[in-house]
Amino acid sequence: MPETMTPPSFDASDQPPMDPLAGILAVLLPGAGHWYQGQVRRALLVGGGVLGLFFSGLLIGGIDVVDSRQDRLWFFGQAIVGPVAFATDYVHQNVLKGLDPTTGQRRSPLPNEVKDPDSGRWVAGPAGSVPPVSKSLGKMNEIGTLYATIAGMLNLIVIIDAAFPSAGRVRRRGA
Amino acid sequence: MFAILLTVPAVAAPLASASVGVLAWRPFFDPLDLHRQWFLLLIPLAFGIAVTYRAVRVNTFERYWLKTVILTVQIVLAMILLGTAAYVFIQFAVPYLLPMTG
Repeated sequence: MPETMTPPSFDASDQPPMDPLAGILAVLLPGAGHWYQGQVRRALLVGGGVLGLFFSGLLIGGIDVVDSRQDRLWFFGQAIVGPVAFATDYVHQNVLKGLDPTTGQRRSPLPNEVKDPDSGRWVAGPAGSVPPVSKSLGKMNEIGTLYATIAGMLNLIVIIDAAFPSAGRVRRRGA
Repeated sequence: MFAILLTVPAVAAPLASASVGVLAWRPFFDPLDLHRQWFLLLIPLAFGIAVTYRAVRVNTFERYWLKTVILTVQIVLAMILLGTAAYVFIQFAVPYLLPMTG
């Protein structure tokens, strides 16, 4: 006679309640939500993973891979990394980019261009001068952009996991 | 962070030869000059994805790093298979299905 097996039942009371503060902290800094919940090791791993991917993207393609004006669709994904992504974009747009002398639009420098400190416009520099930032092109730009965007996508998973914690995890609060 | 592990040897060799172009490289302001080895950068990308995803998925951290390495290998193999499939489709299937006339 076959032995009957009872499927494991799901008890809704096992599910921890939603934790919106942890979700907000995870948005502000990757891993902070799990740290707040007392899951320090998990916080270090997810924070190191997300920020490691984001800054690796910047290292590979340069800061040019985070550009909310020129690569807006990619920036939507990168923005989920949090204020770090917005601060990076702010520095890129307002500190490193300059004004085109003809159109007045903000843009990256061409080779041998330097920024005029008074007007903020790009001007031709002396021979051998180096612009403050280089435009990244080709594979390095693609791979760097991919790194930074995947970091944002992963942080979305981290935010959801912090805000809606799984059952069976050690928690400091609400025990 | 993950890319540093892979790119340090690739960057250090040209630096040793005192190439002016590489010496002028400024981290985070200039892109790396690894256009020929770009595919190697997919390995630290897969590792970073695996570290984060596994950290979210596991309830306990028993054998965490083993699971992370396995997921890294799975991602890399999946990318190789997808790349191979795309190559075969474009090189062989498309010319067979849509032969160019004239």
